Amino acid sequence: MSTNTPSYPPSVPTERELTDFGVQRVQHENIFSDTWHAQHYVEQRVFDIRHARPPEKPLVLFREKHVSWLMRHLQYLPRGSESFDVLQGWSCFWIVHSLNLLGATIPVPTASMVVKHLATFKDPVVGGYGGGPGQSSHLASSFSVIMTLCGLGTEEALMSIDSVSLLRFILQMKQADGSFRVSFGGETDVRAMYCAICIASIVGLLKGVEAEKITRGCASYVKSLQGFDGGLGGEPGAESHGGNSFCGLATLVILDELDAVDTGALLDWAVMRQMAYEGGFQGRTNKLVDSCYSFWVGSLFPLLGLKARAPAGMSKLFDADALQRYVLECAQLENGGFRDKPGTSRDLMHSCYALSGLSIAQHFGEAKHDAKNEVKKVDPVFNIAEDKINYVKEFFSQT
Amino acid sequence: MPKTLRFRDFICIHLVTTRWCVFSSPSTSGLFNSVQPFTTMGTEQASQEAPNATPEAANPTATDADNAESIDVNLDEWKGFEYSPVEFSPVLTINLSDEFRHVFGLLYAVKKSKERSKRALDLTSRAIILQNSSPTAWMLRREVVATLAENNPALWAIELGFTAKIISKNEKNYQAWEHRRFAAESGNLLQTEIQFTDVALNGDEKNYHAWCHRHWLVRDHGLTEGELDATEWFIRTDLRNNSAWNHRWLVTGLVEGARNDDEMTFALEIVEKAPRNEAVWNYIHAMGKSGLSIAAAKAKAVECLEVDAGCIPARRFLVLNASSSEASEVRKHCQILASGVDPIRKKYWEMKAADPGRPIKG
Ligand SMILES: [Zn+2]
Repeated sequence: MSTNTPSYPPSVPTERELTDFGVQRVQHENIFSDTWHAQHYVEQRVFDIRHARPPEKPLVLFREKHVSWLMRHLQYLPRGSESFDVLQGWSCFWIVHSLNLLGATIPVPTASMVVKHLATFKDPVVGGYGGGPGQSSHLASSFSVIMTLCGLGTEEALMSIDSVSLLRFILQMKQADGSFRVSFGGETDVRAMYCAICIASIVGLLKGVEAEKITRGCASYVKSLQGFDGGLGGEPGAESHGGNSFCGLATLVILDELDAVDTGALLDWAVMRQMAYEGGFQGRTNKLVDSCYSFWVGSLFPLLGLKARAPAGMSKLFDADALQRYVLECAQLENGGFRDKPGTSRDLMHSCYALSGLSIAQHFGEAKHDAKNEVKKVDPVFNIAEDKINYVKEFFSQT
Repeated sequence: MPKTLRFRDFICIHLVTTRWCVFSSPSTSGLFNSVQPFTTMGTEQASQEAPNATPEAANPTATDADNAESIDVNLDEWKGFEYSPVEFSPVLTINLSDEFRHVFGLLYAVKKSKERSKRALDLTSRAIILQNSSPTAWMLRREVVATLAENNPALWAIELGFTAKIISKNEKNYQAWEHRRFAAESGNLLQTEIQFTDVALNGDEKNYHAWCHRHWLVRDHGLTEGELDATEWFIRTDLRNNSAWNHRWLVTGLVEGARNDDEMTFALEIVEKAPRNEAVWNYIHAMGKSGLSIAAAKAKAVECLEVDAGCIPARRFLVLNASSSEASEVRKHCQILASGVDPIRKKYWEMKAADPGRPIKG
């Protein structure tokens, strides 16, 4: 054991507390299971990282490294990334949104190339966008394309959005019970609903004459997703899950239907997802910490705070300093990019949602930070940088 | 001796039955150790096997096909069919192989055409093996199968074999699981689906897709028989498996009279083994909300805290289930949680302490 006393923020246990903590676990939870072993392993790795770091070294955001790593990916995806062929829109979104949060500017010619490339994903027959040129339309792909275009925020980007074609596709995905399929014959879940409602809202379709056809039955579908523990699952009966809870709650916020679910129970569930030692969030009860839930679960607090008569301070009911610490210390890599947890490798998706969660911690949870570590403020409903979404809303209110 | 099933058994069953051996067994089959799925362990469901669902029947086919990594699409077969290979993009350039570019270029062209044929089916197989998560390939496959199965209903069984192959390689593939629901439903082949999820859950007992498949079977098809025993098996294997607790909640809601005092006794027995297990406390809390008495559970929580003051879920249970006369108790518990045993949720517990007895309405 090191003789230095690390200068931890108050929310993080001291070395002594940590040792006691480990002893307690073993003493009181002597039934070992897969869950126990997996959790113990992660805690040990986090412990090792925290003890290897010199206490006087502050936590920094490696901004330039992230920007250059992301910009490189906007040009070429690394070898063996054929699986990204169906995720081209998503890859664009993850990169563009991450760059926005980091305050980086995408050169206009590059942005223009991206806009032109995304336009080739349009399906002229059924409307909407596929995952790449020639691919079938899909709600998640359509969502990723629209959010990338909003993130780029140039006039060319926003002008390229055809709301009539989106409406046509969204209505074809609508099911009798109010839910949505992601594609023709594709799965039905709350992700599909969030994607549909989110893009419909952004491009102004929820103010149009067809609004009722899109929103019909959505609130009662989300209501049917609330689990025995208060969180939301992906389909009726499914286990409460951070990503699905975000999709369901954000949908209700957009539709102004927050009363459809028991928000008190959802809060009681969400607050328990923060890991006592690691500081990040898990996505499900008794699962492991994962940096992408920094956003999915972190955003639930500001979203719950939007409810009428919600107590002040709702958006700060998690430990923002501990979350920030997990993202910067355990998920961030010195050569750029973020990973799920120690022991996994970096990827675009986790980089995007770790940064989005960092923004929630700093701007809603009020995590202590200086200008050097600050990322831009994110909109917790749409997960777009706030300045971008404001511009987009203004743009579509005029067209 | 209890029979053990593996993915390859599901992959091969249907190939043996139909003698249409275009697909190999999973190249990864060696990774999946043989399992003893719950449903083969002497319960009702063990008798619900498919006629050929024995490893013995399946193995010869598996061996024949073991060396072939995947089927070949003979592009000559498509001579004269106009298509252009997938192009390299100017941004987000992906180093696509020639095979990938041709197979998918052809697939996109077939999708646009009206052709829904055997060769189109083979093409989707090849495409899906190259790219498991291509919604386009799966969508075309669905259309082709639906067309061909009108004259050949045996195709639905092949689809189960094919999805088993893909799921064995990629257990978190949305499209394959959805296609499996479609095939099992269309071909009326639901009887081995619970067993199939057992195999997937043996690899990862919290696999969200596999559990959702199982929710679908009990929720939409009423296959609740044996599920109480099954979830108990999963829970006793890993007391902290919240996916199993969740499925049990669904099942007890569907089986008449299953949410009863015995269920409470079962949960409290599990608490006894590992009190710091949030999943079981949430389950008890939900049973209380559904109308069952929680008096014994509250006594158990107090007992747990006497032994282990750091037992957060027990203390939380007392806070969430306090009656209006217990305000001062609640305040005390919240203070202990906020300042001592659960500092990461300090602000939340402080808010609870400030207004005991009333839930925080988000
Ligand atoms: Zn993740």
